[in-house]
Amino acid sequence: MNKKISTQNETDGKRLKSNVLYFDDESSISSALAQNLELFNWNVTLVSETDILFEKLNNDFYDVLILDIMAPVPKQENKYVVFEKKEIVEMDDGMNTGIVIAKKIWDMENYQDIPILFLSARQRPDSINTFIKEGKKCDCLRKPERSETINEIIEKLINES
Amino acid sequence: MKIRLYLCIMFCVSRIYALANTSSINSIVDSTNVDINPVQNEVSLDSIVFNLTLAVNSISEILTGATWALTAITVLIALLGFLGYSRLNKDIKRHNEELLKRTDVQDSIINEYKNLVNSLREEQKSFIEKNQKIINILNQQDLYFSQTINYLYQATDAICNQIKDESKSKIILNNLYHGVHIANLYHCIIDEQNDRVSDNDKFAAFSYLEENGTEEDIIHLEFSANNDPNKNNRIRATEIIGRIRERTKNY
Repeated sequence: MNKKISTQNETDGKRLKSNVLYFDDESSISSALAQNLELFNWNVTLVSETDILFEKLNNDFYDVLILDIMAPVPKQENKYVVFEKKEIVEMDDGMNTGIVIAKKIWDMENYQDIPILFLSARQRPDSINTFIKEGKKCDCLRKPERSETINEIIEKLINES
Repeated sequence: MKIRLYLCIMFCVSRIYALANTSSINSIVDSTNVDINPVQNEVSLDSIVFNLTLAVNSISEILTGATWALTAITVLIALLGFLGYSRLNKDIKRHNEELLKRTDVQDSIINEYKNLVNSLREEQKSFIEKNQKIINILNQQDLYFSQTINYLYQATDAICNQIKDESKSKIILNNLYHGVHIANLYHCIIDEQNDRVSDNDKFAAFSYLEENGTEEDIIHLEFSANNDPNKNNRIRATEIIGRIRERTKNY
């Protein structure tokens, strides 16, 4: 895997393109948001399936992740399959599959410190505060949110790291 | 067949008649011999022989009578057999004709059903073709619908970024987002390739409406509960209707 160096440095007043991996199942709005984030000079890759998400993480390097908290994860025997169709996880956080996916990503060798921005149509889950206390770089926004605000939060998260 | 049987009977009758004649001639010859012999023999012997001759003659006459009776019975049986055969033959012919008639009726019924099945097949074929056209139109409509929502959200988001008062822009985005989820409930992409996309959008819509759905949204959820092609979506819609009603009742 080619691990790239984060490119959030300012050059002539303009930020270089950073790689953002955006995981959301809601096709219409997520693609609109991804295109608007491109206008803020982010290199956004949009995925809607867990398999492709982990495939992308293994093959490329990303500076920041945007995760939908309630991603539709495939089920097997009433348990969620969250990791390359191999690992079956019993959810302890209701329908918040994005939280489980985030834990798996932070367990990966190259992504232990990756900043994650969670997007949720529901109330902010308690797990986010726990992650922040544990020192993880993450934040949560309630959908819908202006792309400008999302841009600001991503920049903040990258600058923290 | 008929002629063969007739010849057979005639042969049997002639044979029996010939046999009967032969036996009676023999008896007559025997009795004549007895009549000639007494001239050369003694008196006592003559009377014995005469008596014997008489006995033999009577036996021969009886035998000849029996043969004739047997022949007559045989002829009678043959005649009866022939008559019975003719009647049986007529019956068989009649039955065959009836069977042929019935077969014709059955054939006509089968042909009627075949025609009916063919016309139904034609009807079904045209129905499927019409349905396929509708499905194609709906799928195409759905794709443009999703694309339009995408552009609409993109444009609204861009405009909202220009609005200084964040609370106002939030209201606009919230309204649009709410409307998008309602619209996503009506996703109807039917082909297998795009079904997942359609279901993902519905999953997101249900998750959103579970928490943010209002009483006005129930009508849309009821439509999903009754008409969504996916059984799980119908169940989910029903559950969310219940939750919205419970939530609004508590307020």
